[in-house]
Amino acid sequence: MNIRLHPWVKLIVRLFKLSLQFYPHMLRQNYAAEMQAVFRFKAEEAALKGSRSLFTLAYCEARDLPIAIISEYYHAMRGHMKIIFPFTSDQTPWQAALLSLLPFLIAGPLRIIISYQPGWRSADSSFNYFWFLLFSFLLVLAGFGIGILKNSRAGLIPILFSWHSASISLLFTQISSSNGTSDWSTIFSYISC
Amino acid sequence: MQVDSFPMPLSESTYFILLSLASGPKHGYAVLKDTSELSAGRISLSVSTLYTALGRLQEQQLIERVEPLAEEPAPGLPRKVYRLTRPGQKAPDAEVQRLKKLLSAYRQQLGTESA
Repeated sequence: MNIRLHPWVKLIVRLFKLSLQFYPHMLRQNYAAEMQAVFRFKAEEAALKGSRSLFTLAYCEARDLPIAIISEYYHAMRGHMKIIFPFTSDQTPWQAALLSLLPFLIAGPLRIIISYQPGWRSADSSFNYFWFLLFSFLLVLAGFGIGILKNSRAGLIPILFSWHSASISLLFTQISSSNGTSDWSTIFSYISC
Repeated sequence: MQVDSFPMPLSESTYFILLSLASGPKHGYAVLKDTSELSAGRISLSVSTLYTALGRLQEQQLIERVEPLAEEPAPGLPRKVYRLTRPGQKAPDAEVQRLKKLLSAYRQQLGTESA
């Protein structure tokens, strides 16, 4: 095929070559030369059929190119994430899920323990807030417990339980100390009021 | 759904690419032509879409890129060709079986043979 017959072919092929620069490095390295050769061949063939055919080819390529580039970047990013987090998959193993929760489970109680002082009250000490905390604590604990049991990581249960018991007992102490007593019945009467 | 380590269902373009390679190793341009012919002109893959799909298929080990064994390609065309791997040979069959099951369920439910 004679490329000199159609000056537009040169321009379109050059534009296509330029657009290949937007692809991720890996794809460029593997396929850029091949893609360019195939596109050039296709453009020459289209040029022989006429200008309309050539511009249709250019239009179709321009239409699909951004989608292909975005898709490639997304795919490359996913591949990269799988290298960093090898357990990131549709069926995340329980160990990975639990490990990812661990910082949050440690940070919450740690914050309470560190900032605790006798007579301390949080900014929002409403009953709703207490129930919310209690409910969240139980929910997280139950989820964590089930996760551990499923993986037979029974050894972690006492540690986590004591950790959360410490934080929840601090919460009770906080309420009771604001009332001047640490009697459990007083705490519950305080809550139920 | 995952069957024999390849993703199911296959997309239409993937199916036609695999079907094109079923008749033997081909370079990208031949695959482009084939997909258009096999789909009766309904699917016209752009070069970028084709190579994105070929890249995925290579990753899934359904196809592999090899040096051409015998004949040289036309001048200007890439020397490397694509061919189906063993799982790649099974993939179109598995897709057809899947579609047959869908069709069978459709016929069973609607009680018609015309579908």
